[in-house]
Amino acid sequence: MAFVNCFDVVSMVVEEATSQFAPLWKLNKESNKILEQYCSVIDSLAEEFGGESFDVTVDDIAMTITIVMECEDMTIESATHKFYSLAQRSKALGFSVSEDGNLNVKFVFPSVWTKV
Amino acid sequence: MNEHELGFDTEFMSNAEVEEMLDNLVTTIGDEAAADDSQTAIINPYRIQQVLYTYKVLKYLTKGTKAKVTYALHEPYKSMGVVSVVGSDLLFRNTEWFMKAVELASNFEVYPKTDGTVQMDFTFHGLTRAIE
Repeated sequence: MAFVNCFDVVSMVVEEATSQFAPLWKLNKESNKILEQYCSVIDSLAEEFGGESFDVTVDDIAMTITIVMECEDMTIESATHKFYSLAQRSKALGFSVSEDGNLNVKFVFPSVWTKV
Repeated sequence: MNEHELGFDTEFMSNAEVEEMLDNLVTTIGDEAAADDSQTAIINPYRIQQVLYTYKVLKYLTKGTKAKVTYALHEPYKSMGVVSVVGSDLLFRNTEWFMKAVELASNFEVYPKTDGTVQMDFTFHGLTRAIE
């Protein structure tokens, strides 16, 4: 996982979506900075739980950003774990099985675009 | 008992020693839990309420989906309980309520199963209190 950084993947997808949403919407740099912080937490979760890949999509209508982290499994024993603060900031949280039989953890984050 | 007597000044010399100590630890934990289980204890109503909240909120959050929510009280020991959710694609839109359930549990675990579903286990300790 060391060679893949969550925000690198997110940046590519957000950049593409920004050009798609222009000229009516523009990227809010402050919101994008917050998203970068969320990504650094996801990077540390990936390191802790054996993360194998990230998948990022943008909802064209709601403009929300979905980040799916594929990992082996997840066990949390501390009420102060970083997973709590990240999950509480997400609009939705999901779990499913990946094609490879691993665990997919899905975080849906708010839009990072504002109307021009 | 000082640190020398406890063995802090010695080192593992082989893999077998590491495995042996680990086995002993697991056995000791099991023995302690079994010993606790044999003591006279009373129900901790506040902790039971937390299990009940977790069970009911997960039922509510998964309403209309094929997810199955179950609970077990006093298993595998009388001081323990668990709420489990099994489903193929679990999505929680009210993250505040969901995370409150995770926070209340002593341990939260989620893992993929071979039948293509995901299982979440919310384990609770302290369902009973031993009395002298």
